[in-house]
Amino acid sequence: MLLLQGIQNMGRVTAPAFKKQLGRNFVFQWRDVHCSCALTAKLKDPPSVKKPPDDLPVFQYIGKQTKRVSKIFVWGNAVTGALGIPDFLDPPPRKRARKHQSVPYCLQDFSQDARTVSCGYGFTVLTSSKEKGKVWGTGVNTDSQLGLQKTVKTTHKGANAIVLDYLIAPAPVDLPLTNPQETQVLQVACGRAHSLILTDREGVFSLGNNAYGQCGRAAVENEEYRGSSQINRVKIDGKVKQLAAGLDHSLFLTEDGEVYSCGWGADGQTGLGHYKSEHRPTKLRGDIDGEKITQVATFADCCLAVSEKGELFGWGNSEYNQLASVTDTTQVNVPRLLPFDYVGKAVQVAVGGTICAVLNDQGQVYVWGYGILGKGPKLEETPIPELLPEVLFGRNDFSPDVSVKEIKAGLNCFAAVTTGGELYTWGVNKHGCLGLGHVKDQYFPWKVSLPGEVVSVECGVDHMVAVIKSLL
Amino acid sequence: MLQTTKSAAEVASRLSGVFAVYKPPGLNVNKMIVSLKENLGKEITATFPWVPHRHDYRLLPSPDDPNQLTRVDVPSLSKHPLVTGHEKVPIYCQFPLDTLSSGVVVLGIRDGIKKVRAMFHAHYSKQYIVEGKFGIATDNHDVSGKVLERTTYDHISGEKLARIVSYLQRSHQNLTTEYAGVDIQSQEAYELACQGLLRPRMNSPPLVLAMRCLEYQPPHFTLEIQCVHETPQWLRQLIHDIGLELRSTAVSTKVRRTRDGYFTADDALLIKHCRYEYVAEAIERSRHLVSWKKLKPEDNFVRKNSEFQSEDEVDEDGDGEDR
Repeated sequence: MLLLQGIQNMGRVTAPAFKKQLGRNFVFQWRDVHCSCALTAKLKDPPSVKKPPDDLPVFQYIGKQTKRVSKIFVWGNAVTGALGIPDFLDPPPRKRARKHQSVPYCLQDFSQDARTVSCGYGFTVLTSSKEKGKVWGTGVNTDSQLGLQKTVKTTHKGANAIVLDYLIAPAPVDLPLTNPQETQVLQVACGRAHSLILTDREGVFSLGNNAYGQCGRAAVENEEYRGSSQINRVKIDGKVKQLAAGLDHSLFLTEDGEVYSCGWGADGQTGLGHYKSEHRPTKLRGDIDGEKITQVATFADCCLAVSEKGELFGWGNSEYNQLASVTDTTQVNVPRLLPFDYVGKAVQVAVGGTICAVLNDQGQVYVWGYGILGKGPKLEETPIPELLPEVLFGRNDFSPDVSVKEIKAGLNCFAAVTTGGELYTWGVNKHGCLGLGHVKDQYFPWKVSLPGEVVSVECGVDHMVAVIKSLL
Repeated sequence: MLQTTKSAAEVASRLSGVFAVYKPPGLNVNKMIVSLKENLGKEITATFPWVPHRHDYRLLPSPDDPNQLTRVDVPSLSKHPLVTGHEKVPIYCQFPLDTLSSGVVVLGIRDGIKKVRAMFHAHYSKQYIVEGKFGIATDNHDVSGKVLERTTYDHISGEKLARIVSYLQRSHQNLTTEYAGVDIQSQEAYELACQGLLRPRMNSPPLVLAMRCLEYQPPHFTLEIQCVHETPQWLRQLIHDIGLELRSTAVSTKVRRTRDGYFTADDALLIKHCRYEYVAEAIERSRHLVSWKKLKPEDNFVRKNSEFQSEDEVDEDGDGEDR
């Protein structure tokens, strides 16, 4: 033992000198001896930090003032062209065409200046923050819901113009703006085969199928919508704040909190007290009369609205018990107050084909309706809202104040954005529209991996589009 | 012959179980274990005087009559410390730390070795506090390595760091549920997810379960990381990746394990307290942390779903670690 300690002391004092003289081998030996007596001997000092040599260059990979950029990510059914990626349908050499894209894919052309998007039944409408008065569309255009899109085809007989029924890349939509330099597009809404475009100075424009008056103009018998260049300016008293488009009807929310509707009313989805079609945007009465509405939502035939007080209103189709709390029939044709006091103060609503969801001011999500609601495979149907546990949206000990800030619904799926900028999706995963990397249904909220902070998300019938902000 | 005093071996057999040691940086775990074995063995041998385990008899000439043989009992020396050496104490460590890192190391003695091995199959999470420094890159991702590159870090704000940290944590989150060993489309998976129990229950690559930034004072930052199946070097690699994500470079200055399964830093013995009496006390103290009920979480889960409802409610408070 004495000998050992002697060696240790010797090592401690003269280690550098020995290092020089005897090389590495001796030093290793000394360390072994030293550590075997760890309990009695003093511990080896942690290795001293070496200073970097001064002549080593300092690299700068990013500037101090770099701004975060927006990006658009798309996923879902690629066959209609709604994803706007031409390579999926017209692949480069030695690449295969893609029928569906189940993981988010960056839409490169619009990545730098993306702002708002809207998804319809197989088509997508995009706006840009750089050119504010312009709108781009991609996907199904059989009813001219993306405007008149033509191309010139040259054959040996000569050149002739053909109408494009499907767009596989975003193409600009010609809007009849009187002052295109200053007018800004604020919001877009897409229905089954019509689009609504909200501008800040020139009101609402509508284009596409008008068989039931959903574009806000009188329906014409046997009108040919394919190749039609007609864009209608919708006449509404008051300034429109928000748009919502269902299958074949349109809802307009004004800044005064009043709701106007037009279009198909066979299920009462116009909420006008009858089941006929209506082509003039007409103000809704019923329980919402006098209430200041802050948001309206619709996707198919059922409509929901939320008022400033946090109350919920619903009308339209109730075949799947969406409105079973106020009616026994399958249709409601006037807005009715839904008696869901336990939900708290509602902030946002989302409604799909058979599913409904509401977000309250605590950031909690309640779901009801029929289908995959997000409470596991057992819960298939409920007429009253059920709370989704916050744990499913990433709340844990490490991040205790994560809550949902935005909720959207597709036909059979939901999407929720949390305050941490994460996107959760659940529901029927048709064509990989949940973006989870597979095509199996998801029975509770599941996180989509996106390289950034999610700003907003839009659900179509079988595709989704998210606007994200880069991390740096 | 009947023995009245305890032999060293018998006493030492009391030293069987699981305990935790706080390893300081700069000490190799294997060498720590070797010296621990040696010191405990020596101490046991020295503390408890040798008692012969049996007596041999010899036939010796009788003192009265040299022609007669008498039987004389002599103590058997075959197990004398001078013959066998000091007491052997088998010690085993399942999740060692490397030399540069520090923190809780769980060790098993004798019967405890079985339990320490079972901890591997229990897939407990571990918690680390990792300190890093922006601005340099080294060959081993530790601050002690050879500096390969210097970079700027003045663009990194605390908010950006938190954003990247949460992004990296998010990217691991789906993977953790993939290794949970349940069908994700089943009701069982939903119920587990509601309790926050969807975590790895099979072999997987290193995964971060949760991560947050505790402090950022440029260029130094501190992260708290909960992970499974990691190694300290993988955590240094993670720090390096965080640096790259932030368009800079980073090295780790400290890797400290603050929790290994149910063993926290409070349960760990300091290296100077690795004496027989303290170790025996620590084993008794941590016996409830390594009950077989806790070491077999799968059995627990099966029971939870079937008949033993009431029994598990008692165990519920102990499962706080599972979040």
